[in-house]
Amino acid sequence: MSRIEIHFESPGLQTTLQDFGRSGHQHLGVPAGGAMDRFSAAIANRLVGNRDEAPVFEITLLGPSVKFSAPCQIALTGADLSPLELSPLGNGLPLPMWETITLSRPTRLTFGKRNTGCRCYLSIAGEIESPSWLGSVSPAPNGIAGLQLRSNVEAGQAFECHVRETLCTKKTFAKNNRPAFPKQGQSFLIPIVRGPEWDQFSVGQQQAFFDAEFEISSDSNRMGYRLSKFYQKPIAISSLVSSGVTPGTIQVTPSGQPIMLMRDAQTTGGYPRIAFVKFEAVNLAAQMAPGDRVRFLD
Amino acid sequence: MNYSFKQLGDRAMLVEFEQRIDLKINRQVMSLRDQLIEQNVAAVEYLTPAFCSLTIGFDPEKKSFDEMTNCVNGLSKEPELAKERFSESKLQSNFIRIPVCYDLVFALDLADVAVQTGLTAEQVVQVHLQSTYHAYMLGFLPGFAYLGSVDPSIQVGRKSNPRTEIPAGSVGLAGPQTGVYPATAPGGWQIIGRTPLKIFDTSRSQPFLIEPGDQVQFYSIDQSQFVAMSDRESG
Repeated sequence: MSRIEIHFESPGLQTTLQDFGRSGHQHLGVPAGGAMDRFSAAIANRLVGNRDEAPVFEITLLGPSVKFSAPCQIALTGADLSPLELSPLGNGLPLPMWETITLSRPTRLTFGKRNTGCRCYLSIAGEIESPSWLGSVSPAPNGIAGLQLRSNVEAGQAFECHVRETLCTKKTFAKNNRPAFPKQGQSFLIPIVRGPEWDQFSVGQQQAFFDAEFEISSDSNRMGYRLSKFYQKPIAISSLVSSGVTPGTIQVTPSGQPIMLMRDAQTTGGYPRIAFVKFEAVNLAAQMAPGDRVRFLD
Repeated sequence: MNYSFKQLGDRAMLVEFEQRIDLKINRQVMSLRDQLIEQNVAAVEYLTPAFCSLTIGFDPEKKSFDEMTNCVNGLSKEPELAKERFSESKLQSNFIRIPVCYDLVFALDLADVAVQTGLTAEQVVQVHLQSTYHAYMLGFLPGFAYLGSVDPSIQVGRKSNPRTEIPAGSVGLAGPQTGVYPATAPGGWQIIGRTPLKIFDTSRSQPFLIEPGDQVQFYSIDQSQFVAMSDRESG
């Protein structure tokens, strides 16, 4: 093993270090958290010979500028945010997605225009050092102060990584197995399962839920996506006693606004749950960005 | 014990009891949870008990929805009988005493609560102190326990304009519930005091002071005790 340094000159819009989170503490009100798109995170790890749930950098919409102090192997999966390797002269060389990349010298990595998706995953062959809490390096949940986690990446922050001496053989993740991001101007298609309160919505509202093309509001984050309203009349549903919610829950506020809960969402809620994004499709939903549109499939 | 099963997507299920906040029903929820922990069902990934429901996160490749349903149906429906079968150490609920300073410096809404209930501030505090509360569930924030039931004479509604910031340790009232804010957070509960204890402390092996099913009692301290205990907590 040898050590290299990963130095973030700028952090981008929101870059975090994420593993698969800290599930198992939901009864204490602790959200599981973890990589929003676990599928892409796992593939990024596999391409460099790491275990699926090893920590990776989750890069959101606008990428960081990051320097690797020594040769290493990396992979980039998920959203295509135009990753570039900067030459010493400052020329940008586009880097491929979904395959093992061997950096044979100290390298500076930057990003450009967003082509598809919302979250890109950067893995490094080896082990990134970072403190953990309840078994996860992912950032502390909302409402938890005093943890010395370092997973919300800030400008100038550096991580140590233990890299393996032997390189892994180059792997490419087959094109037809990659997530199908919608083409420009088309909607995400997300499969759902009907929720426990589905029957409390009128037939018209149920129909509207499948007919609507929802827009992702700018008020969306790792806790949840706010979607555009699909009916205007307040719903006549008796208030619910709070109970469990999970990532992928689609709940509807009294004003008719659906909220799709994501990885960092609180563990309980009191709004009617009209539907749930299928477990595997939460990964695809995690690639939606504000302004994108989505339709739900039964 | 009557409950029904509902799907929460394809990787969790809801065991739903009669939908009201009731100690007897919540004990049944906790009993089911305890039995599932005791049986160590490999498919179960997490359990979230709430007032009158239990959310079971499970791996559908290990057990289908129907198999999970059968598994829950096979558990004892009598909380008392179920309890006798357990090793005491693992599943006993804790009794926790929490010091609270009801001084007006901390009790931002105590005067309002007194007006709303027609009691004096001292009487509101006395009533708050006299009950032992049951932790029905944790949620909203990590470590936030919904404690009940509050005596009807001091039950008040949430504030019509929630505060954007309530200091950590604040003790609040909302309807039949009382609770302690584990961290500084926005909220609409009526604040009647503050505890110097850390509800959440990462340096403890059990980072959360209150867990679901615990029994909680409050006792009154003055400002100088509050300061001394705060120092000790952060020491």
